[in-house]
Amino acid sequence: MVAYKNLLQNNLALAVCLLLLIPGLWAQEIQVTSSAPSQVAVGERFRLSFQVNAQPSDFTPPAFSGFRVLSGPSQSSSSSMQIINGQTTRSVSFTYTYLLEATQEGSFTVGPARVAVDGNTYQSQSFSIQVSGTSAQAAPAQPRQGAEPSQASPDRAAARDLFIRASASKTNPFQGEQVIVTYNLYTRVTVNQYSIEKLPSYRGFWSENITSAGQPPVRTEVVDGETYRVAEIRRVALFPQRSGEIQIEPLEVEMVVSLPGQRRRQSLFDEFFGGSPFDQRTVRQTVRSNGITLNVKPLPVQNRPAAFTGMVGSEFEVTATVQPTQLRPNDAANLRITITGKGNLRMLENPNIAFPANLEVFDPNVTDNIRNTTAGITGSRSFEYLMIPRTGGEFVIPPFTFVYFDAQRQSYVSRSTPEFVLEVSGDPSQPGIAGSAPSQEEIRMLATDIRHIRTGNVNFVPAGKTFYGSPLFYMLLAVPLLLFLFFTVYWRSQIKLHGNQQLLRHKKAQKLARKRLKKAKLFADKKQENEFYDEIFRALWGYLSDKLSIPVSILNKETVSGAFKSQKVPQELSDSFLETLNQCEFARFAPGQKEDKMAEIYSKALQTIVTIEKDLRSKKN
Amino acid sequence: MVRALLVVFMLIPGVLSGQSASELFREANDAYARSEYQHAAELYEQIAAMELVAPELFYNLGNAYFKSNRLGKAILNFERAARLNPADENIRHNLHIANSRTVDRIEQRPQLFYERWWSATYMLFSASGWAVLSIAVFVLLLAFVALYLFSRTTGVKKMAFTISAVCLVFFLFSLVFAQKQHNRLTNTSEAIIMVPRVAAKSSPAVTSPDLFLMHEGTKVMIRTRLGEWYEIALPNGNVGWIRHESIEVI
Repeated sequence: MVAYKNLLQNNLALAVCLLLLIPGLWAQEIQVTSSAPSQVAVGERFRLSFQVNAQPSDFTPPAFSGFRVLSGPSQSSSSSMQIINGQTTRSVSFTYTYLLEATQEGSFTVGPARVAVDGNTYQSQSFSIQVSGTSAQAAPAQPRQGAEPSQASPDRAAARDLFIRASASKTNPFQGEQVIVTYNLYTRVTVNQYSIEKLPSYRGFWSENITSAGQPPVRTEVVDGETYRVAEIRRVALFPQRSGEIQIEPLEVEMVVSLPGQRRRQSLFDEFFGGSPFDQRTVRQTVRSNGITLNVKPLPVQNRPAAFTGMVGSEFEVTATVQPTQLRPNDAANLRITITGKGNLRMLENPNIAFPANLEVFDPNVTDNIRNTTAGITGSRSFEYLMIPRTGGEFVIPPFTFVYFDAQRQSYVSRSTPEFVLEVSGDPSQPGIAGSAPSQEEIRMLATDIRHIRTGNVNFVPAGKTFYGSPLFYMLLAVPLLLFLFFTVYWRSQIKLHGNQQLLRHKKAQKLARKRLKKAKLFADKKQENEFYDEIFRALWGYLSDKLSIPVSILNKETVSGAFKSQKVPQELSDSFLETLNQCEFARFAPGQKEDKMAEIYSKALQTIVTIEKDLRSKKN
Repeated sequence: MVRALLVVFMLIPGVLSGQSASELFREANDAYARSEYQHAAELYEQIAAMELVAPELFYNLGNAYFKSNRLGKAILNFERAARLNPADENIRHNLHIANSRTVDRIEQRPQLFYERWWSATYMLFSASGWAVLSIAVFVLLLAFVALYLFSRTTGVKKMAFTISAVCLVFFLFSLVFAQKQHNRLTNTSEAIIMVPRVAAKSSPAVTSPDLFLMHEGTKVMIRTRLGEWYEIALPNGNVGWIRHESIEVI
């Protein structure tokens, strides 16, 4: 966006550059020519100019021996373009002009001037200028013959016959108020010609020349009883930039006047053509106007609105238009503010408008319609803002207030534009494609190109062969799976073979014990005492051996109580188990009711096993 | 075992001819470095004619064509390189540059975020890359299942179960991605316009009216083939018929 704006701004310059670049324009030969009068008189001022038909990059003037440089070099350039039968020819010329004065009599040679164009150096031809002693002998070869001053007679028109009076429309204006200064030439002699030699610098003012073009009208005026012809030779609009006393320097005008007086020796041609039938002579003289002092008042501080930007004038009006007011996101709308009035419109600043966010606004395009009339500067200045809403919704453009100081009424005046509403279709929360213009500049790519080729070793594979879906791929998937399955099955079988006999026995311990107890019960019913006790023993010891994973061979009361402790079986359970065992042993050899004893021992053994089983199970979970 | 041996034997010719292909490749690279792009392109094409492929080959070939101002061929080969190695940044960059030089600018339908993520994910690796990854993840999966089965400790069991579940998900996804990339690789429904200008016809006949103009380098989708005519579709939805010699299948 930045680049685009720059482009817009520079497109004029660009066009000019392109024109300069068109080849063929420079095909013409570069020449340096000089022009100067071949004959001058001592004391005469004349112009000497060097002309180049191309744009020079450097210019070295010759030494002007025998002449005094009054001013210069002053540069001027001109260009013209012709289109003939579709063929474009363009010519440029640069002129360096010197104003010289001949100081000595004799013949002087002006050396070549050097000009550098595109690195090459070109020279003008040297030429000589004849300086004669008196102007009377000078041949009237120049077109400015009539302006030829008569150096022989130092007479000049008296100040009361010829003077310039400067007058200001106001001597105590406000700061920034328009003051019109007029320079009137009062004369009682014939003024053949005049040229403004020195313009005042107008320091402390903004100045605009409003002199009307063409020959100034002449009127008559009586000053101090004398009748003068009066011509307005210059009119300037001034805008004081500061308060206080400001001096306006006098204007210097060089004039050629005809004075009545001695007869002048005349050439045969003059007599023949009746060039000067009257007894007159021409003199060249410089006339200065009077200076003016303005007493500039500062603008009143009281009641000064905040929006005041320094504009002083009168009859200001502000108009504003927005076109269109209904649009879509990223479309452009135009706000045009026109300020019309009398005053220094060229000093008018861009309006300060608080545009809503999300409304991208470009710097305004300023168009002037400003006229320098004899009554002062008047006209209008327009500011055209290009606005692009980036989202949908309503955008309110706040009113713009223009404040100026009316010097005539001596008060501040405000002019306001109405408030405008831009209606943009679409969702206000949805941003458009482009965000706001970035304040930072992006790295600009000069060119985009592909990256370099890859070198080094390359692994070529046959076309159409991909690893995925190839037999190798499936094999690499299948082999680990088969290995996995094989190991799983193998491992399971190993577990069954070894370690988990214990586990199995652990799990089946109660079952086995119950089976043995049942068998013991059968023996008890048959009253086979020894067999009964054997089975009971086997059931109890076997249960313990299975449950506590202790081999039967090392099983005794100590190992059992130790194992119970490590399994955290309560002491009373362990005691009752050992007691059952003791009772069993004891009952075997004890006298008495064997049937009752057997039944008691059976139930005790069963109960012990059941409680221990319960206890161990509860521990496990 | 027999199958594995067969695979190894199938790869041998490639390995053998790879010797001369590497020499050709080096020669072509030298030609490219000397700015003899046409010559380089011919040499690269010789390798391609041996039915040998590598992403670098198509990338360099695309570069050579690009430098000799044959945009259609350049884009075709960059596309082929991108198929073999979708993650390569250089290939994508050059394809992007080449695409930006084409005359036709066809608006792509913008992808939804999950579509972008999905394609960005499976574009991470080529089909082979995903295949290797799937095997690796599969082995990992089996190892953790075994750990789960044979561990006595509850903590280890839990961890092994979780990891094997994650592995299973990864395995399935990498298989899906491998299949997707494989489809892309073997997909013959994309083609590049090879002629500077071609008009799509409304029906497969020379006399039928022109529907729209396409320029060299534009990517089209092939819908059907009818004799010497292809029915093609543009990403913006336009459909028309063009003759087979004006496009080349990627």
